[in-house]
Amino acid sequence: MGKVVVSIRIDSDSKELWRRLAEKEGRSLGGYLDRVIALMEARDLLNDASTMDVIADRLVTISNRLEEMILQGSKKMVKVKESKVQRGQEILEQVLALELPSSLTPAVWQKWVIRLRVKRNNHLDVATATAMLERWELAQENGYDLDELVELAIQRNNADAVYESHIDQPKREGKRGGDHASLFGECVNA
Amino acid sequence: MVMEKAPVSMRMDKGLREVWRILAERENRSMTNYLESLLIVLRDSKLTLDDLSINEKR
Repeated sequence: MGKVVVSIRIDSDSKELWRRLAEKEGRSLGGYLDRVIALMEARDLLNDASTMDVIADRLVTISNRLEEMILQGSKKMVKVKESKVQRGQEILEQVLALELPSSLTPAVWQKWVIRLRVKRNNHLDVATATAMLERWELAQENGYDLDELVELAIQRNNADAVYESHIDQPKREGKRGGDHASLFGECVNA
Repeated sequence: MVMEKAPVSMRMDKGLREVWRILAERENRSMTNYLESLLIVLRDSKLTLDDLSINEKR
């Protein structure tokens, strides 16, 4: 279908409103009106019974339905988010409930796990936490106190509390958790 | 109060212009008057063209 030139005289306010609506859609006045009429026709808004009041009602219904769709979409997203948070919480509880080596108290373990989450964005899962504790147990077998090592690692912002030296060699007498500063302090004080 | 009138000249689809003419005639209005009401209804609905085009076949 071809184009025709249409000339009308319209209230200044209406023209301004029309201009704003068209501009918001990035269209010319004629282009906007074309699209509106085409869409209304496609939505069966312009059938024989459609007076302006009916059209207004139908548009409100469409608007309400869209709002519902948006709301349902948001609710779904919130549910997904909630289930993720809940899953994370469950994993955290499982990690905190793991059996601990005898020299590691639940309070210090909790402090370590929370610190990893907050400071390093490291959300330990059960398998990683179990492997970590098994490794730490080797240091305990070498005479190290895990509470001490963990507290020290927290103080120093270390990524782990147990290093190869703790696993490879038994703890030497007078050495507190590999804390050289404390050891140095003890020597100076002596 | 007499509203100031502003001239508008535009190019539009011939068929859609005919639809507009029939709609106005059906309500015993001038095409301009029909358009003015339609613009107000569209503004009040807050619907965009994209909103209107969603599931337009419904």
